[in-house]
Amino acid sequence: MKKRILITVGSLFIIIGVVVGGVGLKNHIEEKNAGKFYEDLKVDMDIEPIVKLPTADSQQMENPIDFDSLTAKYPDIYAWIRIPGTRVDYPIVQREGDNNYYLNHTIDGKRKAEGAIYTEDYNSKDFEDANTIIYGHNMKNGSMFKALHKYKDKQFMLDNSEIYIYQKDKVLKYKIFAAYLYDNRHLMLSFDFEDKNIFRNYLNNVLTKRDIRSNINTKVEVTADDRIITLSTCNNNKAQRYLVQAVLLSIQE
Amino acid sequence: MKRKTKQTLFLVFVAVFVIGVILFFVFRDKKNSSSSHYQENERKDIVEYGGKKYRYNEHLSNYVFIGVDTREPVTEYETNKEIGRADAIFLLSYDRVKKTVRCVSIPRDTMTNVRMIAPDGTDMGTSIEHINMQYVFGDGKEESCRLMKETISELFYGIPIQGYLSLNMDGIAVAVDVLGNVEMVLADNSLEDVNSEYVQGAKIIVTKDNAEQIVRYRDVDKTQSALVRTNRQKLFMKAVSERAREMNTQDTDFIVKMNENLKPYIVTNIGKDVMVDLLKAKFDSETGVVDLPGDGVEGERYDEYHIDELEVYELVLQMFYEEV
Repeated sequence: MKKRILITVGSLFIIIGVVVGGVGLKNHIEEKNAGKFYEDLKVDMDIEPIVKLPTADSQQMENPIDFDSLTAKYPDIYAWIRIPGTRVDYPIVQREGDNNYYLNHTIDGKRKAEGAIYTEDYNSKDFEDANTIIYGHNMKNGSMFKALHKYKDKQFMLDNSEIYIYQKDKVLKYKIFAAYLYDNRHLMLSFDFEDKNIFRNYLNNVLTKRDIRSNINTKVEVTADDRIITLSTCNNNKAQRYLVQAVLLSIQE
Repeated sequence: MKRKTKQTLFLVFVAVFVIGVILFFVFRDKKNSSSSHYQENERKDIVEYGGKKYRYNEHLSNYVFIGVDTREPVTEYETNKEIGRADAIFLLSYDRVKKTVRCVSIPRDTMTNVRMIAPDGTDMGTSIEHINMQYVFGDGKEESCRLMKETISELFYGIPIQGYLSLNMDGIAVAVDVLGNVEMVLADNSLEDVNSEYVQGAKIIVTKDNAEQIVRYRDVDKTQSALVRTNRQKLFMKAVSERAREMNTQDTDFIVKMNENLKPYIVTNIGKDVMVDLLKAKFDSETGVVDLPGDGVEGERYDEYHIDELEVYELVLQMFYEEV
């Protein structure tokens, strides 16, 4: 009798262990390969790899993306983001009617943890909004927006402060002015950035932050007449987001 | 034989059970960490800079010392008008383990976030103003000191500051009188108008009669004369602290005496025991009194001191943080 109970309980634990472990292993493999789809995409689409170090403007200002063939295959792609000095080199998508879709779907519609780099429909797709929020996951293997966490190092931020956004027939150049931990509030629903006074106050609050872990470059000029982008990724907890903000410097048509 | 088999079987089951439990927890942990896209639990208190990691040095106690340009004894303040401005500002950092002290001199014209309080006590938010104005937004007593403490903490990227001491003008002469003769060597000619013998390199004796001039005189027509004066105040501070240290070793009641005499001119929350510790502490030879990094700039109406953000950031890491 005793024996039976022992056998049952023992086997039960082994089965649970194996099942849970199996799920863990599957997730582990998925995590390890996170972002691979996008690497393959760049090879398929013949997109020149990102230049490792910040380089001359002229090189970055050349549009490396063939949007016609890209959007033919993946219609939700409307821009491409590249941050020299990091691994960030991804298409930007927006899903009509479902802002959460790309939270857990890659751009080919497969359900994957890494999702995509995306915006919500609170923002227009022309980067004309006062503040465009771009989301991406903080993947353990360094893909997607994990690299944003490098901006916790002020020196790194000062050395790698350019962001390029490519659109069909257009290159937008941005300069990073802030990188800091923020609470998890939904920015577009919390601030009416199109209201100049609200936007001015918001920027003032960011620019006058004096905290050892908030990296603000006050040498970059940002006013309420400017347009900014906010790159947003998870921190290691649910209550906070890590934000990197950059101001539009120039548009090359 | 039968008993032995039973025992072995029992042990095997226990082993299986234990392995099962271990496997369960191992895989459960693995699942948690890999299915979520949250990165490994990083330490909250770590600061990264230039590829290195830093952590706040918990052995430090930091104090703000303020010289206020008013004459009235503290107890007689009635209105805001009588509250002086903070004219000499120093941040002192005491390492409780090494028993050393470091000091940063903060120019009074430093432009930073100043919290504005309306006369009825309403918090009006912050604005970039001269740091010496912060004192005026308080009551000239504890509230003023508390506001200065918070503003300076923010200026230094949020380091904790444990205490404050403000001394008003008339207190200087009283302090010098208790100390006896304080000797200092002048570093410039900025006091020549006061006394033709007060030239660069001159060794002068500060007494209760000339103390105020030595500490406060500046030619308001000269730009950045406040900065020149800050340098003189630094030398004075050094001379005074050396003399005080000397007195403290000679007279065990020194702190008590000093405290009694200065009471009407002082606002502080620093206990006598801490004062004694500070007096006994040695200046950290590497840095001693450092200037807040920045540049004097001619403002629209007044001189301004604009800090060099990156250098201040580096100074904070170097003074208050330790590499991990």
